[in-house]
Amino acid sequence: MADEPAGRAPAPGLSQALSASAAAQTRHRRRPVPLWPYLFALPYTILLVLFALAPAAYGIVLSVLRNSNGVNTFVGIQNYIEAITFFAFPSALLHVLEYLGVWLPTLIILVLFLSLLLHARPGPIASTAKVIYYLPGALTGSPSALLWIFLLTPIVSPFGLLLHPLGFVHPADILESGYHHLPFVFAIQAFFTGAGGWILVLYGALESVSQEILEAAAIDGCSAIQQAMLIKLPLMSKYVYYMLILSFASGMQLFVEPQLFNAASTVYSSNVWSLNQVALRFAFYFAKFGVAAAIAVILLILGVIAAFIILRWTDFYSTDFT
Amino acid sequence: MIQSPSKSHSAQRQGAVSLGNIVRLLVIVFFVVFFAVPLIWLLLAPTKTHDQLQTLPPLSFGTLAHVITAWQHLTTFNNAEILVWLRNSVVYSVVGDFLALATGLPAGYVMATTAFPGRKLLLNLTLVAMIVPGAALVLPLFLEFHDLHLLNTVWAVILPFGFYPFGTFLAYIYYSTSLEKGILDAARVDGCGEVRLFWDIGLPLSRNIIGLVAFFSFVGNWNNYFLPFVVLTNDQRYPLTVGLEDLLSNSAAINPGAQSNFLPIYAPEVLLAGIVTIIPIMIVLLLSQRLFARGILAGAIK
Repeated sequence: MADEPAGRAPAPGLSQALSASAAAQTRHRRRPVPLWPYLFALPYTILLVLFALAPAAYGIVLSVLRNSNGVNTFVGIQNYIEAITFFAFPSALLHVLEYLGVWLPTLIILVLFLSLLLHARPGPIASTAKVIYYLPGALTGSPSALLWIFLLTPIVSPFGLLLHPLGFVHPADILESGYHHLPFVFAIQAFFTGAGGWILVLYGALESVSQEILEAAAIDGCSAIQQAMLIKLPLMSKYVYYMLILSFASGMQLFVEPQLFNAASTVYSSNVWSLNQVALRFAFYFAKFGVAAAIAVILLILGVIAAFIILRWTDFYSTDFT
Repeated sequence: MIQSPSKSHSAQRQGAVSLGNIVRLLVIVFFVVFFAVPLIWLLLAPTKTHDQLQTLPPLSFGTLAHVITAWQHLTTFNNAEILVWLRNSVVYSVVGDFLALATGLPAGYVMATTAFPGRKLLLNLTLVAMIVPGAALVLPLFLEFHDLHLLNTVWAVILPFGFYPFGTFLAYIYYSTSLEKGILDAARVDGCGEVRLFWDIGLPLSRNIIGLVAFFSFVGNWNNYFLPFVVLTNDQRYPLTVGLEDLLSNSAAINPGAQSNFLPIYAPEVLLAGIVTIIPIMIVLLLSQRLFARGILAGAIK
């Protein structure tokens, strides 16, 4: 903007008119609401209603119904009470909170650290590392389950050398040794499969940090670490909060790792270790879909509460434009 | 203290062997090993037989002949139906991807750059859509498709694949943090219409986020199991995820003693199938890194 030819004033009139019209819209609605934002957002909104809102609303309705012999009857909060008083519910809640306490801070700190580390010197090393960090998370289903069984069995695991000093020597040492280290095992698994994706996102966010600002800072004697802490980190903040919100919700909904453990382990295994496992047990074993839906709604509410705390606290929706 | 550009440049070149850079490389390599070792093990697994996986050292190389045998075992099922599933996965994932981009990018853009009634509601609903436990949506979605007579069609897979709230919200964050108001205002002064503004200015400036959203959408579709599992019954329409799970989860590798088919599917075959699913993802990642690297916002303001 400093390069505009002298003698030609910038366009204050239009900027003022734009903000004035926005203010006028909210106050007096004298000016008509523009149509084009709705057209831009319409196709997405239709899909949102069809594939998220309508099914979710139906799921909520399901949670207050009970089905017997094909007839649905309204039962109020009975399903919720049955869910909360189920013998495994409180411990499942505790397990999930323990897991979150270990995994969430580790994930956020390590992902931030690695993204900044890689971006300090962009180049072939950073690009290759990003791909390798990501790929383990790309494996799903039975192949992934089998891979993890091998990884967690000390004698056949490629990490065998690492596991021995930690005291895991015999094949059954991790998979059959009880519950106390489960939050840590699941946290490592989840980090292994989830970190790479977030590193890609944060690295992408860093790539849009203006190169000029960084160069100016370097000229002023700013070290790489200072650049990371003082310039890059604040500019990444909205992405980090996004990661926090989604990771909290997906952590509460932990399912794959404990389910795998349950399948692989024969002595100590629980198919109701996590809340989501409890929900699926109600759905497919007890055939009580209403209770399963109630647990899903509870998980939804907890996730939404966390999300809106973070949104409020960080003033997330304010932008330069709006 | 202000250094001249040439002095700071040579300082950077000297920095190539500084302690800081060595530490940085060591940390990066440590994590590369952490993430790569299991991948290497996975790659080497089909070269061994099922028993050799237990007896030979984990990172040893078997023979290539074993890989060919394992692949043949996978293709004995229904005349290489695995290739049909592969083709289906490609079609579903790519078409769903395009749909997600075409709907999500304009929505993210407009929510970031314009105040309109309902903006915050749409953002909140997008967030809620991502927080809803997926399992809770399965039965309602099934009933919905049943009523729309779309069960067991490709649209029952592709249309939901086109709904990608994660990408929309990511685009929103990107446009609201990286797009400078000045650019849009300057173009509006020149009489640029809103659609042209988005197409000629907004989109090109967001190349690296488009690449990211396209990649994640593709992978999300590629690895999606639950949705196609619920809505498809014709096995010729299965994507890889559903077909393979059908094939593998009942095999001797996963359920020794309880297998319900007698195909020669053991651990090497299962792991080879895993490699088959992961290779396209790697290709798409490498492609999207090359095509969409580095936003070009820097020079645009001037």
